Amino acid sequence: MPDYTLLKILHMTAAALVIIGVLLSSFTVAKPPAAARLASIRRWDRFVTGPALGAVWILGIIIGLSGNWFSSGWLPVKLVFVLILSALHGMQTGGMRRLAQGEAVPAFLRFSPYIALVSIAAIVLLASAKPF
Amino acid sequence: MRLLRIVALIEGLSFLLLLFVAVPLKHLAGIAEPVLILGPLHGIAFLAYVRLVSRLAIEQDWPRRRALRLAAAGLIPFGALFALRSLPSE
Ligand code: HEM
Repeated sequence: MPDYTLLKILHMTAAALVIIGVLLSSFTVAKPPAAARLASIRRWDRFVTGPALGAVWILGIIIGLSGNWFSSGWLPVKLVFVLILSALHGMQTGGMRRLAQGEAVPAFLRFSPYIALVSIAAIVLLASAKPF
Repeated sequence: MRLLRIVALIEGLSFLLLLFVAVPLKHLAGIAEPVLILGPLHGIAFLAYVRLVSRLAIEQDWPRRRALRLAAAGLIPFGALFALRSLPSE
């Protein structure tokens, strides 16, 4: 098993990419850009944000198990927000595909940046402060 | 939709094995390894399942009730597979 600190650093690096990517996609579905820009954002989503999210899940579960964090209070609460962020990212990926096909996205995706903001803030606060 | 069926199968199967095989093995026989393998697998599968339902719901313009029902079905062992049967076949 690789070093705990290394896995944690990789988890945080992948998390940084997820945060950037979800915010980028949030603004994209909230206020759709022109076709060329949409295409490059979709490529980023597919090749960077999506794989980074998968890596964050896997690395997070490994450090959660090896650090015995699943018996703490903050991790389950954080996972609720991880679930919300993951579902949001799924909706954004679907929404950007619709935009690329020239279709409209549901109006509530306008709230994407706010949902991302709240979930990201909650995740990072819980993971770093470990308040309970 | 094929992908959704595959992910739902992995999610449902890993949940079932976890609850009815791995957890009893751990607590009744003291064999912890199956939980350590199936637990993470099920965790990843559940996240992937909810993310995929969310994506398809937007991509294919599902009614919101159907998306919520499918996502919630992931919480019941094999619930996701049963819920999938209610989808219109393509
Ligand atoms: C399956 C999902 C996840 C699990 C099981 C998980 C688990 C963990 C655990 C156990 C730690 C604590 C490591 C330690 O302090 O030694 C941690 C730290 C962290 N996680 Fe996650 N995580 C997950 C998803 C995410 C996501 C989606 C993000 C952000 C988008 C994220 C961001 C962070 C950050 C920034 C830290 C470092 C906090 C700090 O030490 O200051 N995690 N995670």
